[in-house]
Amino acid sequence: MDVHSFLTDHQNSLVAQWADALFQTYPEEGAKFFSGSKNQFANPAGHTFRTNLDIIFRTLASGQGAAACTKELDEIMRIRAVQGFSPSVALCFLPALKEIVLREAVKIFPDKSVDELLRDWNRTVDQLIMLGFDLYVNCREILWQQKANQLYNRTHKLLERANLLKEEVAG
Amino acid sequence: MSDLPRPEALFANIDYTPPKADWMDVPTVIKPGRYCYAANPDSVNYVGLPHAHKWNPLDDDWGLPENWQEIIFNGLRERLHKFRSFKIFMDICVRCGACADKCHFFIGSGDPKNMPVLRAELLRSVYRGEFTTFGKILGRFAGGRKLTADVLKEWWYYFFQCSECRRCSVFCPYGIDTAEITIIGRELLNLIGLNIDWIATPVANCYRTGNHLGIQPHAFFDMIDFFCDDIEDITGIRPEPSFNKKGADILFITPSGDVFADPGTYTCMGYLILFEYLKREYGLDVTWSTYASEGGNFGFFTSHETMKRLNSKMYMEAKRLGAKWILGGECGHMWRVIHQYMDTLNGPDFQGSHMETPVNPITGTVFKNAAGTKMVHIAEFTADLIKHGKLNLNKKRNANIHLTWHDSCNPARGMGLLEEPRYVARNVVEKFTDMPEGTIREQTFCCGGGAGLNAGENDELRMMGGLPRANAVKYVHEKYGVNMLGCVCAIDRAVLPNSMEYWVPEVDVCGLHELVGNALVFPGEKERETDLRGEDLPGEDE
Repeated sequence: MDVHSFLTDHQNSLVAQWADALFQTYPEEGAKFFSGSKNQFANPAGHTFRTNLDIIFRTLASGQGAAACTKELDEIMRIRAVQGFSPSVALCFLPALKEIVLREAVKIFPDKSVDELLRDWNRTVDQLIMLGFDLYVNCREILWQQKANQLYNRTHKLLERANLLKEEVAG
Repeated sequence: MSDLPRPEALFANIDYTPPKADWMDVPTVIKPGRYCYAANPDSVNYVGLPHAHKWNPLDDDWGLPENWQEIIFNGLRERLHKFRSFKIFMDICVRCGACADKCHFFIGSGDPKNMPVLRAELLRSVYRGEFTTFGKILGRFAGGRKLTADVLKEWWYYFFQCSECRRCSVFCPYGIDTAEITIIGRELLNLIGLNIDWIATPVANCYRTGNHLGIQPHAFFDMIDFFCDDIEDITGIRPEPSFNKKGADILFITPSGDVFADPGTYTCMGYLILFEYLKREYGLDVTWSTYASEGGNFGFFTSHETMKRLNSKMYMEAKRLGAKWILGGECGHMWRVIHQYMDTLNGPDFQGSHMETPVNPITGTVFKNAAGTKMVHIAEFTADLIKHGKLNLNKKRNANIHLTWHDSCNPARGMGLLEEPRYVARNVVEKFTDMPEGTIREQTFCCGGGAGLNAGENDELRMMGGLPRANAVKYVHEKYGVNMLGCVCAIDRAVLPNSMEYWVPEVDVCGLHELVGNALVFPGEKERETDLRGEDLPGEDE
């Protein structure tokens, strides 16, 4: 069995473990809620997490690079970035994927050098972590930009009302 | 190098799982991004509320009065006696959990103390522990606990993470209104000077100048005049609104956000266009007040007494001007105060003695639903005009808009205003698609910033709380191409643009009367090239 077949054959179990790793970063009641209801409108965060982790895993397992998962990972990071986590906790479910796959791979390939076998996979997950970091920072920048715009607009409006602007300021 | 652990092993040794513990044992950590700054003592003093002092939620010492527990206990005792509903809500909850997963803040955050049942339990546990025999004897075994400084901080943190939207109450089999518990919780906190500034300063402003933003009468006039300039540029018609006109038939009052903050300003331009049209065509006599220049009522988020004081100016102004009735603009909580609290606050005569049951002078419709309040929502008024064929509307001017409708919590759940805005909307836009069931009408999701929580500093809270609403918008955007979210609430119009920018950047936000203003055709008006935002009308650039 090669790595691709291993990932494909075990994807349901691996994705479930990966989702658990994400849910466990929440308090017990929150984790229960997110992992429970499948209604996408009553439980938008849980639905997004479950659906998108599945798509991301399948995409990576099919050999496509992390960039192919940008939309799905962005939707997850958009939620994680505003839930009061420190950046490391917000992103911790991404490196967890390496550990989860490693744990299972050791069972399936007891006689082989698993590090060697998973080299490409681990590199892909590293790319996913980097992508996640970019997306997380982008989310935080949107929030800071909104604050900056609010202050800018307030000042601009006051100056405008006081007739202190000679010409329209760009921006 | 070989001694260094592998990255996998490093990560494997870090446990990100929060510890499992009973909720009473989970200490509250006050996090920036989730709370609003403490009230400015000058603002608290201005309206004579007690124990104004400077404090910081991140400090250990909140500068509480020495006898703060006694003040809270006396306040709680007084309210248990005064509000039978509150006493019942304290006693009858069986913790069935029907409300638990209905709060937008819990749905977005996963924080158990944002489950309505648990948020209420923060106060209910102290009621049991300090006021009931079982609770006093059995303590925690009976779900009771003592009021400590940490418990007080927990109250403050979570009662200001509830937007009093009342979605949870829709699902409670006992009819418990958890927002009422938040309201009392905030009242108690106000007894020892623990308000937030995004509420306290607007309250002081409103008490002084008549509106939350502190706009003085001449500046209020200037702003409206500024809109009239823009309307003249766009339509060729200059509205000539009247201000403080004695003897006017109708007094118009709207939230000050419509006068000051985009995109509410475009809605305000819509009102001006509508009134000018009705004046020219039918002789409608509406006046604006530069004193009662606020429909919103942040007193509602402070205490019943403060709510009453701020509400009264509208009716005192109507009496001073001799208006027959009041037409209210697109506001949220203003309507909840009027519809659900005002009669009880004022008694039967205050708002009724000098006014008449509202009658639309153009259609003859009697607004019997407003016989007590003497105040009609502009969505009802405009829907009535359209129903009677009194407006010449050209939907094509809004042809670039595919609208969906956000039922603003207070008008929707608080007064049942569900059909009128949709009726108006469908008459002014060509494309309208509702969001899925369970996210609209009585079960609508809050914008995330109601009840005084639209400060800049609690952006994470607003975004978390805004997720369920934005998620439903995203669905209709991706499936049907919706690109505009309409609403009849000034707080919504302030909160939702940032929320949309974060969650669904392709969707913009507007008020109902912005769309009416775009669609309304004056006899002989020049051909418009832009909409009220100054953007090209559909087809103009093709």
